Amino acid sequence: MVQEIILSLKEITKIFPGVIANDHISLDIFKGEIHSLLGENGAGKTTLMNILYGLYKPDKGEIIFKGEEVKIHSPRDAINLGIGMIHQRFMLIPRFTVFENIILGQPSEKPPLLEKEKLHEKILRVAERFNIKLDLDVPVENLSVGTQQKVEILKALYQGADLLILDEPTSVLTPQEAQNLFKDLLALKEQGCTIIFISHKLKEVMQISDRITVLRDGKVVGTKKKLETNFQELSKLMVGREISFTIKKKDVQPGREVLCLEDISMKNKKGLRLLKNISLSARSGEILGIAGVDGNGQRELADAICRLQKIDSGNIKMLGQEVSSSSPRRLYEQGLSYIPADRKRYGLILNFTIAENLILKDYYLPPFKRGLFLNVPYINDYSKKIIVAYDIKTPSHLVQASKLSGGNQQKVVLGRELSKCPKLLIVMEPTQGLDVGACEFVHNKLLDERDKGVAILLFSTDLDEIMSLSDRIAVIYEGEIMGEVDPRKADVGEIGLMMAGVKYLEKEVVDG
Amino acid sequence: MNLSTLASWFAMSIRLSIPLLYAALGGLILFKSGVFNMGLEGMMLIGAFLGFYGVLVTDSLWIGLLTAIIGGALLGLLLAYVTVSLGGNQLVIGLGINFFILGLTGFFFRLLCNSGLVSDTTRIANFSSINIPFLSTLPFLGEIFFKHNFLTYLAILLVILINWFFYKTTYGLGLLAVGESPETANSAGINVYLIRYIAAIISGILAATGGAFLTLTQVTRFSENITDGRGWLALAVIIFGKYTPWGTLGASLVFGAGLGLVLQLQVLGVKIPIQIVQMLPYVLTIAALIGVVGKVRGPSALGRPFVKD
Repeated sequence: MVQEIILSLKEITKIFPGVIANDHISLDIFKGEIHSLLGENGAGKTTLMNILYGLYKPDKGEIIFKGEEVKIHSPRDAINLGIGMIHQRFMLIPRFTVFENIILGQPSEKPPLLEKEKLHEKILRVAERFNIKLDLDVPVENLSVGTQQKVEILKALYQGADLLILDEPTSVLTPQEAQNLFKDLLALKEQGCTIIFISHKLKEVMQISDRITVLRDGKVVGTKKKLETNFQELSKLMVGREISFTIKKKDVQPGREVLCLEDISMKNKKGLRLLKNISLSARSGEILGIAGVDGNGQRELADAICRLQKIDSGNIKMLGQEVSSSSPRRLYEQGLSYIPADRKRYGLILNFTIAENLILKDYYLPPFKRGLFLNVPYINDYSKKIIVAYDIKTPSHLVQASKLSGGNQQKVVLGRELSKCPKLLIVMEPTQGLDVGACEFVHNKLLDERDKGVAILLFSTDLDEIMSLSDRIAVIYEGEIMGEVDPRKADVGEIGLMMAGVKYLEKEVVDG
Repeated sequence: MNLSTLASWFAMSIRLSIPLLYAALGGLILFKSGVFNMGLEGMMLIGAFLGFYGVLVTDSLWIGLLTAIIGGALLGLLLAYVTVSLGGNQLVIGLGINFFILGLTGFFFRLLCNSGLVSDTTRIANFSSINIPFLSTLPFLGEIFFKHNFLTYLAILLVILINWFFYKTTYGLGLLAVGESPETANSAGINVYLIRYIAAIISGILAATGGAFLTLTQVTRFSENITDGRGWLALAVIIFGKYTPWGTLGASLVFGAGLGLVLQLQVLGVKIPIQIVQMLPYVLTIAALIGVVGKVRGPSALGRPFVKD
């Protein structure tokens, strides 16, 4: 069967200062297919789609859409052609209602009036056709992330899109929400929509796609039919070398209890409970994974342990000592290290050099200081050593942290936090935004620390990461621990249910 | 205090609140599009001066008003160029406009004085009060509400118009979206730059009209720094009014009443040191900022320049 080509990209090239983001990319998309763009972070997937959506101007190349060459100068042009994009970070205005978000930028029949009633009905008709159920009058900020994504999709459909681009759509969803999204996408396909699905997750891509195009370093390295390819082939294309999917973990017998949380609760200023009676314990030589959808109290719990936010009740014990009233500096001196999720804001001072960032927590101690002054020769030697040990790619230790890539920034944070030989390590989203190579490096470092006898609390929204690294997994939902499971026995569905708020115990009762 | 004193205080409060209302509405429109307008004081002052000058030269109130509006529009354009096109610091350009206009109007006013065109006793024509038929004859209420000049009635109409624009039109929704998230608005095909430019120009026009109100209706002459901090009060009015058109009207009236009370107490010869009384509007300002009116949530993207890739 000859397929009709709806979109054809020819020799698209985009150069940013210092990088070729897209290097002569050519690509055909068939009408009515789900076509995945697979590649690591920085492979150029998003750049390519932003060009297609009119957010970037290509330096070279042409776009042929529905048989005609088109020039797309702005999102407006793309929308008018019938191209809709659902960005990784939603393009929704939190304070606006679903209705307002959908009609934003849309022409009305009787300008300048909004014609609320009429448009309302029109939107509901579109929603009905694609079987999307939404309350239009709720502010978007009150909706769950999965529902917000539905708003984005409905918005694109309402604007008449028959080609939908989804940029890493599952990165913000629970496994269940992701499955629901896939169901919706298949239904859209039935209705004749063409879908471009951007992802770096092999599993999803293999589940949802008809065809898969792999990008690496801004180039197309291959387009495969799903039915004719497999994980190994795709991952090799994506990374350029064989990657082992199983992380080798030594058997380590956990030692003494390093961290003990008893009944921790925290409220915000409005009295809303952010943490509810959390009790956890972590022993030396084990990784306790905390799984959960982003924004369910992970940040607050980590901050509470590091004494960056105050708790309202409960006890925190480190190495048997009550530390609920210690200062963050005191805790650090006692062997606590913290690798925050947002390394650019909380992990580094971007305008400082690598060397300055490396001594950020010890500058006031000898040998980093000598009398009233910084011991500059020692600091220089020290930073050079760390740069070698942690494989930080930089021309010099005096380069500003802001000039480094995400992976190298994370290595600076790791270098600072791990070189102090911590006893307790709090890690949040350690590999977010890193490419596969850097991920591997970070994972191995964490496992090394575990083998050395450090107690590690690993917060991650990436379930695969949690499953492969942790010795025990606790699931957090709306500030509450829903249950604890053994990663060797648990299945993803079970953890996914807890991430959505179903308690482990309740489920057992139902099963029994 | 008897009924007629009360009525005259109320009427005076309204008169004093209108310049604030114009400036605050102008500020509001630009704030809602996500750009600070710290230059309201300077924009009012240019309006006050050019309004005065236009009438002085042509003897036409309408040409005076038009001159003021053009001056305000040009300052709005300057603000937009620096903040929108150059992505410059929004606070600094506002302050710059204020000091620049303070010096400029002072300089030209002295030139006028030295040339003999203007003396201390020079008075120009003014927009006289329009008594609304029948309503203005109502006892008490007539005195307060229905004996004002045309610019006062226009200001109230503007409140209704801007409210309608914000919440009932597509362009209004676009402007609010730009103030909440320019990235999202841009992705929805809205021209962020164009909207901010237009908002800045309208902002300048309204603030200048507020300034012209001073010279063309109230004092009928110009003096250096005649606005005397009203542009700053207008900023407090916006926050006090919780960034809404009707709230801005309410807050203007409260501040106007405060200014009116200052004058009224002086007239009545109440023995309170004048400096204490004069603090009143500013105490209100501080109260507004501390949060007496409750939590105020401004536009999310306020003060953040938008740079397109």
